[in-house]
Amino acid sequence: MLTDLRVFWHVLMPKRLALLRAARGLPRSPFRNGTFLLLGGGCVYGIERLSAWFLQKCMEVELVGPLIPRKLLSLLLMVVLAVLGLSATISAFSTIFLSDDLDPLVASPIPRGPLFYARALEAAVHSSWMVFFFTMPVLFAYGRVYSAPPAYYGWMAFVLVVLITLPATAGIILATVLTRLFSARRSRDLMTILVVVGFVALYLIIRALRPERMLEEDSFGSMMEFLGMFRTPESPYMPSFWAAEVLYASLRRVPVPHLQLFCLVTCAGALVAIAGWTGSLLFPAAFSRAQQGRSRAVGTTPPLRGRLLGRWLDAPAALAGKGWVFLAKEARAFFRDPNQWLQLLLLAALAAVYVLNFYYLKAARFSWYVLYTVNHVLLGLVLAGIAVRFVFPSVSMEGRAWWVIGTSPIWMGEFLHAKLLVHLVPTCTLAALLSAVSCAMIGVPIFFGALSVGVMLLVGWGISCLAIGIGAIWPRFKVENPAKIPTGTGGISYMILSLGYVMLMLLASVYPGMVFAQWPKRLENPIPHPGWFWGSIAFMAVLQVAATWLPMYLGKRRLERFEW
Amino acid sequence: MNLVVMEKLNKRFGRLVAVEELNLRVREGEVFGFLGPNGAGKTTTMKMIAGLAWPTSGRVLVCGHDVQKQPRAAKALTGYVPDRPYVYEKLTAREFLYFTGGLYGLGGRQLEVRSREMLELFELERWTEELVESFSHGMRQRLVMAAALLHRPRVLVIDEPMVGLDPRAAELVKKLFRQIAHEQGGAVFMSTHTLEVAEQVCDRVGIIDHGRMIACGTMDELRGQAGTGGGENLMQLFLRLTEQQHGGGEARNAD
Repeated sequence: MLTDLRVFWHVLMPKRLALLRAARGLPRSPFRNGTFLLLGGGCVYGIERLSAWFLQKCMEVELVGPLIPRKLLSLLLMVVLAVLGLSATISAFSTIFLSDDLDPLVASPIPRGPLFYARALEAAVHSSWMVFFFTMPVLFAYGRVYSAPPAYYGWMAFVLVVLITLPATAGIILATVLTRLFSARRSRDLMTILVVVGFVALYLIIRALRPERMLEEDSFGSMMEFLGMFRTPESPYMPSFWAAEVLYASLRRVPVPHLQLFCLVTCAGALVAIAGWTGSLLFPAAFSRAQQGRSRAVGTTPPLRGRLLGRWLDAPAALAGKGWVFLAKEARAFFRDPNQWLQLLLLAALAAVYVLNFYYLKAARFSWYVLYTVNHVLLGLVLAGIAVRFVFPSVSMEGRAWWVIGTSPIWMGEFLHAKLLVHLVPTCTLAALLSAVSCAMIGVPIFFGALSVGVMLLVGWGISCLAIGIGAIWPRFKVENPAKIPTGTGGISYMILSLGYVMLMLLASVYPGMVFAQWPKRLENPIPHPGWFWGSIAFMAVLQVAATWLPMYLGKRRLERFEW
Repeated sequence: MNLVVMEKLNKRFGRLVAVEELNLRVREGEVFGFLGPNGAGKTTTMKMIAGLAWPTSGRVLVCGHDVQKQPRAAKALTGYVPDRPYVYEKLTAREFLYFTGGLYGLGGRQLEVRSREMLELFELERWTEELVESFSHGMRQRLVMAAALLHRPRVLVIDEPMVGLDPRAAELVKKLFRQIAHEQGGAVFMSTHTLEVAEQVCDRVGIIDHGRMIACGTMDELRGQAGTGGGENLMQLFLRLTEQQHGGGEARNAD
């Protein structure tokens, strides 16, 4: 047992040392660290304040107000459970079976059990830290709104860790079994499809609740109907329910329910034991199986895919120059990698879900102006989220072949502009399309619809430049798994800055939008607050220039001096 | 004419001195072998010539162009082969050559003909439409060399050219280096740990240790610098010179 623990600790040594090194390196750049601390802290504080405000508003709803936060807590934990289950499974494939540094470890005379546990822990931490980071401030907001006792914060940390253990271990078990049965490559492709299906299913579960009705007192026939809604689709057998009950009890200073606490802890313990048992039983065979599908044998290139993206893509290069050369390479790399193009399914599902959302919201009889504003904010967030997965990693995805670009006689601006062009067109098309369709669903007047499309095109442009530029400032060419690229400093900086950009841009567009909407009258009457109007326009222009030019310029400078 | 010139070249990584006061000239029509123990600073120097790393001080000129100040002009005349042949996995061999050629401004019929020539030269024509992800290490190495020679560079910078190559390919590469230097008037700057290859192919050899050039010249000149009578092969000279250095021998830079 002691030997196993020692091996477990030893296998984690490279990661521990990397963490220590990163921590030791922190004081060397106080300005950069201070900026990150400020941005990160601001983001956490913002989430906390926004959540607290929303919870307070919910509590103020007559009669049923106090019930809503409880339901939302349960929903939040259910989403955490689902998101983590999916991301842990995908992370497990890469970390436990496909990572390059596994070969010497598996070849060494160490017991397989501790090796599997160490890798599983790595996969669990990797897949859950970001969810943890964004869930904590919401739970802190609960503490603030309910004036929770100090014990709540202890329970909060405990419950969150136990809750994260559940989907992480379940994902690891699933990945191990799938890798044993199929090749790791196929399993990962299969999981990507499952992620799409899971995402849509999760949406449908939440959508079926019609959470917007919670804020409408008269949308239920009776109190019983309202309370009935709160029962579905939640089951008392779900770990998210147990966790929510424990947290809610500690929030209200009543003794925590022992049964739910017992269920939560024993379930997590059991899953950890099953994961260990599965690992010791299946890991050697699954690892061996994973290697079979790791690379393609020479002479097995699929002819159809080769033809579809073949010579015809080379022809325009003579006319269009280096830009087209990059475009052809990007298209081939994207469509020949199932991990990449399968995510288009996710994107399509996301777009469909987004539009469907407004269909439901319109049915809930919200005023069009409220929906229009909500649409703008959500669309900005959706675009930022899509860009972090598809656009931000673009530069880093040159990978270890970066030397090809680094040694060639091109201007780094050309390289970045080509990357931008490749992603700008789909991002802006998606932005315009989603904006137009959702505005049509809401029933927005044509002028506001056109304004929305215009603003979203600007936002799509700004977000693409931010993603490419920041991706170039913090390139991660040596990261094996492309999904890990956005999890570094650059990814977090991009998310914080893009969210800030979206919010500022949309806030600044509110007043000019109102003025433009009454344009014919304005020909006769002056603008009520010309300072506000012109100030907002100038602010938008400055913000747009800053978001499009600055990150691209800094990214270009960084790549010009990048040392390989 | 000097095709590669390094003047007072220094490279530091924090407190570690990777390259120190390196002065070196590689002439037209010359195959130059750059030798040294592991961690001596060979790869760092080659990366500075290729524009993948920036000197802390000093400068590198390729065909008269400062690599830092005129990177595009310098790079257009350089072909670089790294020690590990990482390439785009999802491109075919032909597509990789087309992509690389496009970066150097080649296109159309010229690129098509040149790509075919290179694929034939490196015996990859059977695998033209195969994805690179299915290639062995040796095949990738040959493909990277094909890409480096596609635009007919005047200077070929090549880090460990023989790793992963089968004997037939290794013979081809040696012949090619001589051809580039002696027949086409280019310069080949290669690092290798295979001292027999260096002895067979290189016109001059430089030995670097702890970032400093400890000996440089033809075989006879090296024998003189090592203070030996004659008849020693490169392996014996290398061991003697590096041992002298570790024993506190004087470092010297050489033109």
